[in-house]
Amino acid sequence: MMAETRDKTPAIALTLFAAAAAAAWLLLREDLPHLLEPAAGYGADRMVLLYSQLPRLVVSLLCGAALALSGAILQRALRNPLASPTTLGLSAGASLALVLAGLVAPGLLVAGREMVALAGSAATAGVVFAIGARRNFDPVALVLGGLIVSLYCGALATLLILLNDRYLVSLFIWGSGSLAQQDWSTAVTLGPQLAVLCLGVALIARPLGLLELGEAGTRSLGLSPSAVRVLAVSIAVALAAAVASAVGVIGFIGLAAPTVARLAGARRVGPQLVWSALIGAAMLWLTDTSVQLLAADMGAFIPTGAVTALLGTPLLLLVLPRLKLSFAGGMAVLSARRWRGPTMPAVAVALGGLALLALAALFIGRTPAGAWQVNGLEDWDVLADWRLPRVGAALAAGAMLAAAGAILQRLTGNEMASPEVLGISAGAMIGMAAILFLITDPAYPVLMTGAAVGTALVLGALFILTRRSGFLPERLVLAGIALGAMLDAFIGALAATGDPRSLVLLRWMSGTTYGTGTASALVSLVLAGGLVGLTVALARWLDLLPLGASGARGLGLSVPRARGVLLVLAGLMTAAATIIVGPLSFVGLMAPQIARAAGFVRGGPQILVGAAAGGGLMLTADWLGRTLLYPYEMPAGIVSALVGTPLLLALMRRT
Amino acid sequence: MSTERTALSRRHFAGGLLAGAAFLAAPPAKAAGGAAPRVAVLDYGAATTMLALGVEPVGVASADAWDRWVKTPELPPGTIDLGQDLAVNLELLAFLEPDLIVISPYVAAARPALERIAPVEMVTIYAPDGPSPLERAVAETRRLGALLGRTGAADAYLDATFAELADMRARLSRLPLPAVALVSFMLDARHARIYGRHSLYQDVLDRLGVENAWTGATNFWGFQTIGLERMASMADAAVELIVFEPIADEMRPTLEKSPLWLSLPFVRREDFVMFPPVLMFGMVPSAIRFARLLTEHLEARFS
Repeated sequence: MMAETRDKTPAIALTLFAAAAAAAWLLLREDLPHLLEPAAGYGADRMVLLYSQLPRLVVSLLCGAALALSGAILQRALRNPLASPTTLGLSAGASLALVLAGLVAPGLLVAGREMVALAGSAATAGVVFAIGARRNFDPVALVLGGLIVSLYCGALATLLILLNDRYLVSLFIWGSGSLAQQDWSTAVTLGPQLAVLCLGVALIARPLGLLELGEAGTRSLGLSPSAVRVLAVSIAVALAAAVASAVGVIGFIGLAAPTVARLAGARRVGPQLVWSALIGAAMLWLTDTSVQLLAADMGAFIPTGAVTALLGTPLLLLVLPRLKLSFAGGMAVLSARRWRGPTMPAVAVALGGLALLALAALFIGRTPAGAWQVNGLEDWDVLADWRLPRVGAALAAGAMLAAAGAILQRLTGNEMASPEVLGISAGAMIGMAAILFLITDPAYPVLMTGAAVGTALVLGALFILTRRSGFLPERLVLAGIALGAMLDAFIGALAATGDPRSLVLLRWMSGTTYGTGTASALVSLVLAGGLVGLTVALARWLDLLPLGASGARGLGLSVPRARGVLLVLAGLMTAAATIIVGPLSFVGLMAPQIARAAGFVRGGPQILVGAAAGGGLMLTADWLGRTLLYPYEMPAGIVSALVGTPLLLALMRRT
Repeated sequence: MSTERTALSRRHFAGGLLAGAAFLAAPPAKAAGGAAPRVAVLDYGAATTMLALGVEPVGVASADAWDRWVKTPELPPGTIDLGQDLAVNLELLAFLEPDLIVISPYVAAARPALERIAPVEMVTIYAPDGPSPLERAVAETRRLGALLGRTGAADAYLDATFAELADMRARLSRLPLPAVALVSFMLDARHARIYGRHSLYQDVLDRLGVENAWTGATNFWGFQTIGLERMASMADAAVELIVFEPIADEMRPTLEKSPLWLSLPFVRREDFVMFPPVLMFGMVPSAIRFARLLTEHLEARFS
């Protein structure tokens, strides 16, 4: 580790800049002579060069540098190789703030689009760090907290877009980060902001370096380590927010550039920050210029932010095995009251409550005119056709997600893991998206096939990617996150082109039991019964695995094989559930927590009660979604996320 | 000679209008005593066509946003909102028990479910290849007419429409017209949707003999999303810019400040105009509505 490592950062940065400059020359070679022309007359090409191309170039350099710097500081300050403006949810917060302002107070956007976005990212940062602070800024807790808040903002924004479909589609462009410029105003606003922040960075660099030496190092400067961290992180947040408010969400640069710099050998703080910024600037410049060259050929509009995210995923997966993750093992298990009474009656009570809930969801609804009513048996034909399958499917999906979540949380020793994080649901969505583009008029069974194929592919890829590391939990989670980000980027890019099919995709993403037929509901229920039952039967493994590899082996359990089997089980349940309720639901995250908070700590009871809680959550969410805005519907996946996430955050803070 | 012909077609046009007005004013089919089919419609374009044929749908999807996107013709009061077009309320539809459900490929994923409620007819205007939107719209209008027992009304409506289009073409042919660029700012102040080949608007321009300034590629819905700066590529020729509502509120002030926008030749010459909403993915009623707005505007400006 301490062996001489040649610092390759200058070479990498230089190569990137050379490539970017070459691409820019290709793009602008015909227009550049216009600079020498007299200013008289209109000259369309000249105007475009002066007010669009050149500002765009400057903005891409500024934004790339700022994002990379922000990521580098975050990674350093939080001692977290995965920290970045994207992974901490700063960008998603800004995006949500803009959507909200556009709906509730459009005047705010006129007055200051930038300030609205800034408030949004600051607020998200506040929430994420409030969670992190309770856990001493543990890297995993922070990033997972960031991703959850990020998903939550995304879910809310998605719901708002769905309910106002055609109008708010515009926000996808912003959400996917377009660097298109019409004047110098962005560059002129952004430049000074970044200059001030860079001054702050210069001041914080030395104390930041001393953090590596531990407490004593920083105390010798008269600073507490946590003060240094808070200061550094604030600067990073401001950097990210400035970029987000200027051009939207440009994912991944803030994660990739510092990672490249570190892997290339920039070890000390100063060089790491400087080279990260330079590499980030070159990266974004190169990407943006390539996007423009490509777009000119295809005659299409492609948001640069979506492309950075698309490019970023494969690179991240490539880098993953080389990353030295200094996770301090799993996080502390939630302290829970031990259930003192007999377990079986308690499980029975949980299942009984679930049955009551299902009956209510089936019989309470609205009339065509919109009045609330309790349907009688004379409406049974309609109820059996249109409500019963949805209640059943929601219940099955919730139960399977809960069981999958319980497996993952125990497998990773991390209570924040969930099926959504595994990326398998993202794979199902990609499969469905592919079908949508192959067939103009796809029917449900065809879509289901696509989803199943996508799921199997991702599961296979996860297997291959992680087999060598013996299914190390953190690698799994990272690969899943990367895949999910790629899916987001793809849908974002598609939506930004205005392709109406993107709304269909968005609706699937949001997770609705809409259109579920009796047959598919039955299939889901049977699958749920079988797979959840199997998980309960394997509950002993779940109790042994958290003891650690050696401990489990000592008790006669082959750890890799047990992990593999459980992973397949969790993957299957996630896939079957995603086909019904989409990839965004948080039920797989919440339900196992609820079971544990209620005192069901051992594997078997936790899975059973968790599955009941998951089914109950999902069918309640489905019922709320069907009735609240009648005749308009809100997708169950998103409703459950909206209801469940605050609950979860409260839970995290309590412990 | 030419004035004579114009006069003739003017008369023809007036006759067509009268015929159109006559059946538009006629009471809807159900009042005529015959058992008019109860139709639920999941597509704005098909709904406007039905209204033009004098049949009121029992329910229309996304009825609450009708005014924002369609405006004219107005939706009769009492039309039940079926919920969002991509997720119409199936339970509500089942309680309504319609005789027929009309959909478009956009919402076709729900077709198997809808078929369990009532027979489903799909109206296809936009498809990756094949005839242009207006041609398809004409064929689909005749088909809808036959389905609804309104064959005569459909023929009369189409005849009147094409007579009117021909008349407008004749009137416009005498004017020194620039090319037109058709955009909507549904996105933000930096991006526009520009309409070109494969769009309903393009068909109308062709019928009217008006040139489209945007000859670049478009998707199969007939538009392309472009950064504002690419509009400058149309700056050399004489171009009349037409911006469709709805336009987001925060966009106007931003546009008013943007140097690139302000220095676009058609903006500097104030050669641009805002049109009220015209359903861009509509059928014949949207085509004729756009044609009327355009002709009226061009005549007012260039004669």
